[in-house]
Amino acid sequence: MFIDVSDLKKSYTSGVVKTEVLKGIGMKLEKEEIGVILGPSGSGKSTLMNIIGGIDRGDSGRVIIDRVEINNLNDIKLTDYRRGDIGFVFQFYNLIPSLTVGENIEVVSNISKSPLNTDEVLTAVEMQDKKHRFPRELSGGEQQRVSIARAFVKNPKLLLCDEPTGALDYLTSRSILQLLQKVNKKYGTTILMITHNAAIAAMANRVFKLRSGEIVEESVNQVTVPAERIEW
Amino acid sequence: MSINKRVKRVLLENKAQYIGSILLIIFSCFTFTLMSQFAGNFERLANEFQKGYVQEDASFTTDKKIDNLQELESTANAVIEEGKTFDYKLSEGETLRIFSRNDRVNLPAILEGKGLSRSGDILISPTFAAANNYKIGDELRILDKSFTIAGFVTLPNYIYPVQSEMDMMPPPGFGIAVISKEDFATLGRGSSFYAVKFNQTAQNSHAQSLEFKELLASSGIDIAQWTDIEDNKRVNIVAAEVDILNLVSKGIPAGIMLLASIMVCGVISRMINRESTIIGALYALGYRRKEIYRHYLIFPLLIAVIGGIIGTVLGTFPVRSMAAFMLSAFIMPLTGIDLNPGMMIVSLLLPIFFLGCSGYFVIRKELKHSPVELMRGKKETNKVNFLERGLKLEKLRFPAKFKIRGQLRSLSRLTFLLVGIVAATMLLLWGFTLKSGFDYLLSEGSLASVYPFEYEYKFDSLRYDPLPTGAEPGSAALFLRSGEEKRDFYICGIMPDSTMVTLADESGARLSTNQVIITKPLANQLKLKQGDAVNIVRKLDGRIFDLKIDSIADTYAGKFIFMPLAEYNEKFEMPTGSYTGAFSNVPLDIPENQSYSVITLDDKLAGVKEAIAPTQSMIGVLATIAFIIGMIVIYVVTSLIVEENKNIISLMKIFGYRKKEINSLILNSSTIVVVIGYIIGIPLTFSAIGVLTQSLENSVGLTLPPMRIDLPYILIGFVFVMFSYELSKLLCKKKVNAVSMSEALKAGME
Repeated sequence: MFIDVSDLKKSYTSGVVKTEVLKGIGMKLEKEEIGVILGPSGSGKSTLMNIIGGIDRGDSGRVIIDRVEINNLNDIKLTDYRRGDIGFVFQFYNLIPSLTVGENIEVVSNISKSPLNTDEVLTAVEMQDKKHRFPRELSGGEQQRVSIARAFVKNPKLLLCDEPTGALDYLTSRSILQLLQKVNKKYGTTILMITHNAAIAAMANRVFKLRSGEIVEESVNQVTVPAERIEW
Repeated sequence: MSINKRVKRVLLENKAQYIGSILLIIFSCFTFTLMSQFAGNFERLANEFQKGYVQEDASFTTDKKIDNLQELESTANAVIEEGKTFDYKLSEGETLRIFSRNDRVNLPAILEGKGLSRSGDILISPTFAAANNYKIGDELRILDKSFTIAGFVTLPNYIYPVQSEMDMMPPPGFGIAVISKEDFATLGRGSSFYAVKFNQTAQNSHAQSLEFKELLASSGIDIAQWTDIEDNKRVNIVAAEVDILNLVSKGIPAGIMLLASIMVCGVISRMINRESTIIGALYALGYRRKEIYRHYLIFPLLIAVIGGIIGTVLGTFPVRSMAAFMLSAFIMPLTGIDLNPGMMIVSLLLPIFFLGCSGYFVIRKELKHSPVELMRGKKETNKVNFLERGLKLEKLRFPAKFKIRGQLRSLSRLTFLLVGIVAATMLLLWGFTLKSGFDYLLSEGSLASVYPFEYEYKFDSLRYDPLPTGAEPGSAALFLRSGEEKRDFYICGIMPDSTMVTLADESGARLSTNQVIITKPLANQLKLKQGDAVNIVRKLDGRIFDLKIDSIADTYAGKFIFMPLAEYNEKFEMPTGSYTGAFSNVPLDIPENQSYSVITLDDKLAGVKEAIAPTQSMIGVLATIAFIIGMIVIYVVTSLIVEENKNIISLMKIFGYRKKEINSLILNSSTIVVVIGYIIGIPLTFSAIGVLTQSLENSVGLTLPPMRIDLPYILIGFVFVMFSYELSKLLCKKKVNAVSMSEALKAGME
């Protein structure tokens, strides 16, 4: 199992109020699969993603990623884990405005041991001709393409996508999902995506429905739907 | 307005930026108030002294005693008083220029102690007393007569008591003394000179001088030497000092005020950008544009008022101490300090005007957008500035690209940092340039090597006697370029193939003194090249001559034209074989009845060394100011960079960047700007000093040390600026470490 989470708990305390965000989550995902976590706002999906991505830590439970228990890693090891193994795609792209498209990709390749070629990833996301543009000069969809290119330029073991189509229109969203599927196939990258759009679940190998910090339903798609055929 | 309640909270949230701005305003108003109040008082004290103690309009010596002074006075409508003086060497390194007490012109001002009340009383200058440990009541022995120091004195024609007119600073071993006319007569030494004060003050004193000289000539009196008060280096330096103070009191505060304005505008503009959604919401809730303007204007105005009041009040305290300090060099009575309320009001209003105007324009620019645009969160879509667009950085490594891009993203921030570093550099290098100039004058390469003689004698009348081996005769007179009234210079007749004046051309080749040679600073001032001819006017009698320049000497030791003595005598119609001075390596045995003054090379060097002491304290003060400005600017800019790059820092942490790598990319991004700012500051310092020197040369013909800066000082200055930079980075490191990874997860960037 590539991702093996069991009995993961997480709570936040604000003053005297303690909020349990994750209440003993358990989930598994095989290598090179696409997983989708579905859930409404406040269900804990972002917290779960942050813990898997090494940005946050669970209070208890086990989080094993590619045979490494990341919940026990110290800060330095956790930084190394993010640096080497994880790619992030955000809802609002989070590109660095002062850098060009090519340079935004270099932000990650600069610290990777064996990054892919910048031009190759730009060609893969069909943004080769925009290499010298600044993010301000791109549409939302184009920015998300760059964000995806930036995430997989280091050829990560796991690509974490936080609402990657949340800020995009239907057609653009579909093209982004196609791109993610393409990356998954071409580079064999395991992808874990969180979304509140149930239609996207059709392209995933495994789907986890989250509600109030608990997985209320888990399903496996024997046949995944190509992104271009997804509608909502 | 209830939204104004948040002003205090906003100020406290961004303490560093606002405190930095307030400090700059305090500093600016402090400098303005101190300098302008001091300059006003200094000018007033000088005027009071010059009027109250009847400063001469001119002094002169003649070939023979004037017998009909009263008649001459009524014809010329002037007061004329004969004075007597001679230089007396008290001991090795201690020379007093003794004057007989005047009653009508150049009256002595008692600074401490009492006046001359009985025979044997003597008044001496306070600087000489301090430097050589003399106290009131001490005995002095002059030509076998015993004198008691009754008090300390200054004369209105010796405010800045240099020994020779060619000196830059008064040597510590030189001072003036005043004794009664009766005591002076019993000493049986000294030469006469006349001080004249014209009664018609409204008339041009230069024209009055000319008329008076004609009157003397018509009375059969030949003038041996004439010095108008405007040309008296012991007096006109006061005017130069007032000029410098006026320049500095405007220049430095204006520069700092500009920095503060850029900084406050940057901070406010960013604040409005950050708060655009709140502003949009306020519009939607019914707030008027005027009310929003007023709210945001509170920030710059508050900074201006707080900084203005503190700076102005603080600036008034050291005026008296500064006056006392300055009057120990420019010796005048300190009768009192008057604070000019007008200048204090200007000091308070200046920052309000500067910050108010600049703040208003920034707010107007930011609030131009519609409420909808503001509520959506105003973003500078599609705006890529020309520098970002123009720079091709592909070939650079990523960290270099990242840092350059980070700086270019905000041109206002970049300008502020650059201007701040340039300002700090200029202040720092200003002091170092002066120090380098003095070092050069002291070094073997200058005074001592150009003028390798020990003694410089100046005789009050023409001499013809041959001089002993080791001494050379010479003559000198003051000239002006035809058409000019200021910026006079000496033409010196020296021996052909002189060994006492050694000049070299630009290539370093020794120049024969058997030709007309002009020193480089004078050639630059008169814009003369080798082979040029120049029309010159002898100041003594206004006669015009023409002179052809044969060579230019590459030396900064003074503004002179040298020519062979015989040619000098012929050209300027002086008696053949005559001379008025001597350069010598041995003390000359001059007959008792011949009046003269002598200055040694050691005295000159001591004068330069004396000048270095206050320069060193000045360097300390300038370095501290430079450090504070540098620190404020760099710290504020670095804080802004951290603040503006919170999301990027957060993102980098998510991507797995280590602390060291993030610190290097974010905090070191200003290194190149700091280095460029420092480099730009070097030529700008020279230009600024050049302007100052030019203005001084134009106003009083003062020659300052050569403008140069030695490499070690450039390096020390660089280390100094980099140290303040590193310190600011260290303070900001904590801020970088405190940025959490959730910042990037919360917000989108574009």
